[in-house]
Amino acid sequence: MKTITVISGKGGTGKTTVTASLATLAHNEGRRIVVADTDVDAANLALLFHPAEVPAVPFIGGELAVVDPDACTGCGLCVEYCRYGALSMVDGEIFPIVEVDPLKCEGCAVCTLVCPSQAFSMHDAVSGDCTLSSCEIGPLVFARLGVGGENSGRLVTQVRKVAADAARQNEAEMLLIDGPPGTGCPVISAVTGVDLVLLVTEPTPPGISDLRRVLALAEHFNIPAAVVINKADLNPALVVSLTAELEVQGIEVLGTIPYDEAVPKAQREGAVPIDATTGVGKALRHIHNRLQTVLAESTEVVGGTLPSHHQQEALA
Amino acid sequence: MKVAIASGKGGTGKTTIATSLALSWDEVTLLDCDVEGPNAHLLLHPEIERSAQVTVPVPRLREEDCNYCGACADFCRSHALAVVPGKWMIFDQLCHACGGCSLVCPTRAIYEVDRRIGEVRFGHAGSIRFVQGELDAGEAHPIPVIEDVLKEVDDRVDVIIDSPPGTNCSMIEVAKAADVVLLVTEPTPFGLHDLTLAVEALKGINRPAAILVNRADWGTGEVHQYATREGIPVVLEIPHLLAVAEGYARSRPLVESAPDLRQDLVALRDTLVRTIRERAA
Amino acid sequence: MKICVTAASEGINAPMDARFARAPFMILVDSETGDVQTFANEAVSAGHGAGTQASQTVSRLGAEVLLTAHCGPKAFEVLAAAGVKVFGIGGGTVSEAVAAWKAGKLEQLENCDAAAGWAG
Repeated sequence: MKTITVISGKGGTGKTTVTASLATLAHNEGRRIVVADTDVDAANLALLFHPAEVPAVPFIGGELAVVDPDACTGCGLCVEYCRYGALSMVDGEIFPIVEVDPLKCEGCAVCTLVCPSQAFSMHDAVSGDCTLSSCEIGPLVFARLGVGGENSGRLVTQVRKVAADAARQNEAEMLLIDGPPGTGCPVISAVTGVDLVLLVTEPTPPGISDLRRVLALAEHFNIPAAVVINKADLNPALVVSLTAELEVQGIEVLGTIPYDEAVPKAQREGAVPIDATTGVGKALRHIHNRLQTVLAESTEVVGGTLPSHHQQEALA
Repeated sequence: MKVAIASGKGGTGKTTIATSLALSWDEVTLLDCDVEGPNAHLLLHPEIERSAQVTVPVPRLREEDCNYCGACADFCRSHALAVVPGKWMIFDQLCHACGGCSLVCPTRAIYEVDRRIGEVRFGHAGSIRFVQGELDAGEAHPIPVIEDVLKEVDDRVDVIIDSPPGTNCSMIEVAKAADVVLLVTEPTPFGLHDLTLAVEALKGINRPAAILVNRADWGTGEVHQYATREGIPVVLEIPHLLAVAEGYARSRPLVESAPDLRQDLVALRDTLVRTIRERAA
Repeated sequence: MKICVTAASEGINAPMDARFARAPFMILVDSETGDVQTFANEAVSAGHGAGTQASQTVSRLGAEVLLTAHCGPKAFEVLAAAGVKVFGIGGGTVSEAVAAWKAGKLEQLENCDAAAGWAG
């Protein structure tokens, strides 16, 4: 089984549309696939796949400090030691006591160390929920981060775990992961150990600037990468120069997609823009074919030390 | 007035709007808090005058005082410490800089050093005061960088804060620093869905919000219906303009590609001030 | 000497689990007495840092040898610091793995072979 994560660095370049389109095209060819949405802040994949209604499973991402107001003497020592600004003094019944801001608490438990009255305890915190559902093209896993959620990296890991289990059970040949924007903790959790990172970019200076950042990330974690340039007509000259820059680094541009209102139009209809009569549809199909070829050819991962899951199974 | 420009969904036009607002208003400071991929400089072309490192404290060991008891590793919730017979190891990138290990060590063998995780850059773009934060590639935790940028908030001028996308604690941190949050959305299903998530996330911090619909002709009236239900004013609608998209691809700000929009952005200032006043009442 | 094997379930005949830090169980086998102990791997639910946690557990159990298929960089660093030798094997049961090690059939891992944070 091959695992591919689709990221971009910059938001809005088309990760979700590309992920959903590639998944649909693979499914239409008769391949068994699983799709996962790790953009837990703002999960949109389900808007294109209309999954069955299934109860979400709460996810405990870490711990939160809880203060016992009866034990608190209002000394304020903990407030000095908390490095995240999660503690503050508020009016108590008789004197000011400490209040924990759950949005800022990182669960480090330093307050439990410093409090002279043992007024703190650490409790499991539900940081969001994760859902394993199914849709027309196969199992679909997505999650929702709780408000102001701090542990999105852990929730991403949970989505991957549930999706990998579903892929194993369904004997899927491909797990496609819609990744989060940015380069921080959730993205790192979404890409480590995958067979290929597919970078969706756009020919704009911000798009390219962010592409370079996520490429550096992929390199840092030794994961092979390939690129898709979306909204290509916005600046054809940049498409050319970017392709050349990537070629020098040994990174393939699987294809380019035109800038077309067909994309939001399809989204409004809850569909993927793979219609073969449109420029966008043709481009996506070409990218899909190229991706499948690259995956089939990669028994040894270029630039990486991690063999494919197939090879791992064979080695064991 | 301090305005945070945010959105649930990435790519709706936060930076495009933030930079053009800065170009349209007088006496503005622009803070780019999208530290995992700051882009405002690509539209404003500022002169950077100086920079400062963003650091977090990480633990180091005074070997002569360590008895390898492992209490620090047992305490560490991030599993950033490993203690095996005769060896103490810290994995800096896992460390959350909480300081707990140095507190828990019975022999006071742990001290802290500053480790760089990013940078803040200061400069000007014309009369606009420009501050940008950037998290070093490979680093996982953006909040300390965002906090350092937010220190530059100045009550004497208008401050426009370009927020990271999403609905997580980074965005909340930025929104808390503002008097009003301008949510930039697009009227597509993704845009509307993520807008509702952003609005929900903001409810906990009690800040007035306003909505700007970008590429307004690429969708239906659902955003308006939602905004009415939530009691959030839609303060401006901008149609999709190819000139603006192509301008963005050539580092041209929106007010240059579509000069007619400048007056709308100027007027937006008063609208936002009114929004704050109405909400306070 | 004590040998630690990563396993999917409990006991000497449990199937091996290929992923070091995320395997649900660690089976400790005494190569001389044949004594077998099963320990739940607490690192399984750790966010980041599962590798460092799991490696310290192996060290504290007194194991000198670890049999597993895939080990990330942080885990490997800690195991190396603890003087634990890691041998690669990814299939079969715990008992088969120990037998293969005793017969000298397994290769010692000189370096980590899985990327950081691999969630498998």
